[in-house]
Amino acid sequence: MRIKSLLCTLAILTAIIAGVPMSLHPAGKEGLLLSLSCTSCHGTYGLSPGAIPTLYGKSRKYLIKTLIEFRNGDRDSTIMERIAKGYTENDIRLIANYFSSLTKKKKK
Amino acid sequence: MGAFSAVSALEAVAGYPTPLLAAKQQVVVIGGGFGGATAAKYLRLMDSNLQVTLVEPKRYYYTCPFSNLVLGGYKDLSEIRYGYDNLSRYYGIHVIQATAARLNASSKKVILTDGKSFSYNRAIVSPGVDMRFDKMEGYNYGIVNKIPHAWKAGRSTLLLKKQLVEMRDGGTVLICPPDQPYRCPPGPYERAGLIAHFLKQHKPRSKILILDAKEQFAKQALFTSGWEQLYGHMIEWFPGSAGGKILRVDAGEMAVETEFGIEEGDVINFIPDQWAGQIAHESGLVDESGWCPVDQRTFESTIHPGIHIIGDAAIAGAMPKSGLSASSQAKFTAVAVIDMLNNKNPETTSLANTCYSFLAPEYAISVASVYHLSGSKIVKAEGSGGVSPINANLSVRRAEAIYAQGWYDSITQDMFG
Amino acid sequence: MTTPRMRVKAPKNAIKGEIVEIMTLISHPMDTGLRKDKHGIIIPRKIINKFVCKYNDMEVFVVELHEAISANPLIQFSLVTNDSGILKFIWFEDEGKVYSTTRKLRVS
Ligand SMILES: Cc1cc2nc3c(=O)[nH]c(=O)nc-3n(C[C@H](O)[C@H](O)[C@H](O)COP(=O)(O)OP(=O)(O)OC[C@H]3O[C@@H](n4cnc5c(N)ncnc54)[C@H](O)[C@@H]3O)c2cc1C
Ligand code: HEC
Repeated sequence: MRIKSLLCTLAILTAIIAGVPMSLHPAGKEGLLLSLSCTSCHGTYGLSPGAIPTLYGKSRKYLIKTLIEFRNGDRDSTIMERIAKGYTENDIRLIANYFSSLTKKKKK
Repeated sequence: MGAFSAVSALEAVAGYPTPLLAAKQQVVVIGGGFGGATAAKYLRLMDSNLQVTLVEPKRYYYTCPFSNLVLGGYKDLSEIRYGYDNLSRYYGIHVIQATAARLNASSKKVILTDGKSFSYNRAIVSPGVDMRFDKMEGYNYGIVNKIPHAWKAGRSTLLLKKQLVEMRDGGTVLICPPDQPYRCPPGPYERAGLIAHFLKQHKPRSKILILDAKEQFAKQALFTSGWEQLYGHMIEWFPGSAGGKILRVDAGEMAVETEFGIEEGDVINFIPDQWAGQIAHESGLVDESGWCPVDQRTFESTIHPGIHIIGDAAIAGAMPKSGLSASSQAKFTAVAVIDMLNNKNPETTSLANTCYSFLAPEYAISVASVYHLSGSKIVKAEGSGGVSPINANLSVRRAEAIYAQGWYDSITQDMFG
Repeated sequence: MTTPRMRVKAPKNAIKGEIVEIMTLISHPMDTGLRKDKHGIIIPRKIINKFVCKYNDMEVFVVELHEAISANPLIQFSLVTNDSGILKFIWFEDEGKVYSTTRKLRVS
């Protein structure tokens, strides 16, 4: 039951965000495009409904640090090391810009 | 608030295209599975001025991912069922419950099986696979109730489940995977493990024989060592050259013939060869392989311009045929389609695939890769990807099982939520 | 344990003097005597230790097997055909059990 209601909230939340076309997002299109591969696991907009951590609104610094650590194998992971190795440092910065720019507050 | 009214205004005018909407660009998406549902949603998320129509005959979509957990007795079919209400309600997608007969590329029209037709500016086709009933002696559409493939989730899954439940203890289950290419390369082996999980609890004297057309399979070392650890010798695998290759299916005798003789099965799960869904054939989108060649930079057909094919039906370079591949291609293609409608050069980005496979409900492994374009071909990003470590302990397998559920919750929400 | 499943790939017809390929496979765990079960008790050694092929009662192929051979041993060999007759395949298990099966071969 709890899961049902959480999913419902998410649907409404994404619907609200959906009013603003993704591609017009202020953080730039490149980061958005790269983020699209992440959201199949981390949820639309990085809002995860389940066990995988949410990325939506996490700080830029934290995201960059974490992803670089995954890439270098300095942070334990089941899968992120294998994924992070497919991205350049520049890609990681763009992705971090994008997820960190998403906050509920920003929406008018 | 503003956002909501924008969405509902669109919904109000969504209908069969009328002259009123002539100014709007119309994109039609055929098929509401992993590729199609994701494409329709992301087209609207990226450009709320687009009119998006999704054609899908089924009222409910059952995901193939996690359907093996239904066979294993760990999930109910209702837990892998989704409808299209959110897509129309929250995203203003016009969902038509119908089957598309074909697309006419020159007139840019979709023709439905009920004879109705309508125009599009660009089309995205994600029809998945169809089973080939013309390739194996003794295997045809007439026997699917006796020998269910369960390679499209739903009724067929339940049928196979029922046969497993009714099987005697000490019975033999034959699983017969096809040669590449087919949907979900690790799927048959995940199935074997989860059926073993069920049998071990309820019919422990039973056996599972995998009679494989191939010499090796995805994540093989991880599967075989895991099976032995979990199920001892319940599962036996035979490669094509050592008794795996099937020459004939005999539904009457409930047996298959191999080069090493006849194998009888109390339950037979013959998974046939596959090719692109029928509409791709009807619309002239396939090459001699039976799959759809596309420009891998945009997923536009190299045969008929204006039509993009994604998911299992497409020939997508190094990417395997999986739900996550289809979802990733859908987003990639949505971006390309919007750029092309605006007469811009399509911006390209990277793609990804991951397949989680369960060996038991609390034991999962994965294979992951990131892909990008190299010239006009999709290739694996160097250094990325690989399979779960072979020597990991059970806590890692359990963590992956939890994340596999997390992946499932996320991707289904990303498609239908 | 029930009789293990024996499988043979052999031609039914051949020409006199021809070399024919034979493959045999027996479903057998080949317990090495080194593995433990889930209660930590050693599973005693039980392997197929010898395989023989007889052609009209004459031994034409013999091989000894040892612990290092994995479960479900696959044995491949070839024969020069002589007269029509019976091919008999015999597997010898530790503790004296013997399993066998036959195939007819027609030589013309
Ligand atoms: C047992 C099994 C387990 C799997 N597990 C996983 C997994 O764990 N992870 C993973 O990533 N992938 C998995 N897959 C693979 C995954 O299911 C497919 O790769 C994925 O569904 C492909 O998406 P698609 O959009 O190409 O096709 P589908 O998802 O099959 O969607 C096609 C849709 O098009 C509709 N359609 C077809 N023809 C028409 C027409 N003429 N008009 C209108 N609509 C039409 C169909 O009704 C269907 O809804 C698994 C597959 C199987 C069989
Ligand atoms: C196959 C599913 C999958 C994909 C695709 C994926 N992730 Fe992850 N991500 C995970 C999992 C699972 C974890 C938990 C750590 C682990 O075990 O790997 C995680 C953890 C993370 C974390 C750490 C979060 C925290 O606070 O602990 C970050 C950051 C992250 N991912 C970013 C990304 C980015 C960016 C992408 C896209 C480039 C991405 N992920 C793609 C599954 C995925």
